[in-house]
Amino acid sequence: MNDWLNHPAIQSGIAPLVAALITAKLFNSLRLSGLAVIAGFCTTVYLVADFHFEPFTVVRKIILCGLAAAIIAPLIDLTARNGRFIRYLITAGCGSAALWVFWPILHQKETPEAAIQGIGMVMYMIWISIFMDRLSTMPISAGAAGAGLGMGVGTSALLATSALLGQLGISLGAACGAYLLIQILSRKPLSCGRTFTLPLTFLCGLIGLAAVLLAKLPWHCLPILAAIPVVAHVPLPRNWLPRKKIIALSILALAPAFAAVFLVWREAGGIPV
Amino acid sequence: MSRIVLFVLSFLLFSTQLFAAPENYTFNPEHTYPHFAVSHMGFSTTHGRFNKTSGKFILDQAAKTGALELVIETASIDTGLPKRDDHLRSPDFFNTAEFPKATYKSTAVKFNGDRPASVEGNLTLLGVTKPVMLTITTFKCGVNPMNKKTMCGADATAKIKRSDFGMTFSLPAVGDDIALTIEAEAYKD
Repeated sequence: MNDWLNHPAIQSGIAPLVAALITAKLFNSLRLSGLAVIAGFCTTVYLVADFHFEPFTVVRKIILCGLAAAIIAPLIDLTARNGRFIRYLITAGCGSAALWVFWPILHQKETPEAAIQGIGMVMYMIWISIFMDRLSTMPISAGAAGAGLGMGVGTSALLATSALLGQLGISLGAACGAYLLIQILSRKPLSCGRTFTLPLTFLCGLIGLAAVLLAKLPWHCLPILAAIPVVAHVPLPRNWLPRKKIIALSILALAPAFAAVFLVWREAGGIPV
Repeated sequence: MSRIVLFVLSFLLFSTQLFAAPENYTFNPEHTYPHFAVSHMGFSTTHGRFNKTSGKFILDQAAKTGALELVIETASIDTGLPKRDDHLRSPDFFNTAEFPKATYKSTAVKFNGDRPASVEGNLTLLGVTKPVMLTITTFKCGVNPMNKKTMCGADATAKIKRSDFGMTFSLPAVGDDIALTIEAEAYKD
């Protein structure tokens, strides 16, 4: 059993997929299917890392941000707050999170370099948060964007020599895959909301940045990955069945992910040894 | 005559104890390398070393005291395979962007006769500080025949568990027990 649980494909693929399937189905009646994302992610954290926060490293801060987003987002959804103030708050939260998480790296650099990197990180997080937040009312598009972002960020991080960041990213892709799978099988959209998009925004955004700063992900992969939530907004004919929409949007969302992975593979080579 | 010899001998002994002072040494980075060995899935042992290490030590052989401080630049890890070294620098293992240095500071030096035999101290790695004892297997001080400078050299070993420092990725495939061997040479300041 332990051999199975130690296998990377189980840890970051099968286990989060199963956890997300169960969670999405169980919580759909409460309109909290979006918890599938954090359920899948936590399963992988449990299998490949731990929930200890000492020492408080960058990776542990990222995990904490994901958990915090998963607690705050349902509260926003349940209180049905969708005003401009909430959107600004989410955007500001994402930008601040980037600075807070990566401060230990930034403060070791010369001021001009730290400033350029800090501004770049904040802009990246704001971009991801704006476009992901707009998807919070579109379960199919949000699922496709999540699958693309998770797989893109995870596989890129894996090739950029961090298996840990890679596995954490891929688990998000697997969880979103489970979320889409239920919609394909049931032919009905699941509840989405910020319960789904907010943890995804924090985790995918911060894991991508961590892969640049802590591993060897080329920075120019980030704009390609940032295109994923944008292409998921592409309007599709209304008369298309959910299954057809899911397939079309998944292909669209995975295309930039593949492009980013190809770029890393060209520059960094194969998976870590 | 025997009184004179006795006087000279006692004077020499007395003066050595009176005037022996702690001597400061600075490690020579070209001859100071911490090496490590770790099991790879139980099949073989992977060896590597850190190419950049600096530090100082103080030695007082007469008083049998000493102190040691070693700073290892973790990004200088070298196992002979660049791709593996990149992986070891990542957050999976040494997380060198966040923790660029590992340090060792002694708390006590134990002597066997007039030479240090072991060093008790604290190793700080990945932001975690744990006690680690270095066993000194060889120790020699003298004059370098090439440059005529006074120097000391030593080999030391230690055993640590990487999980003690929060380095838990890929356990148990990549072993938890790490064998450390440090080759060090230092010139007198």
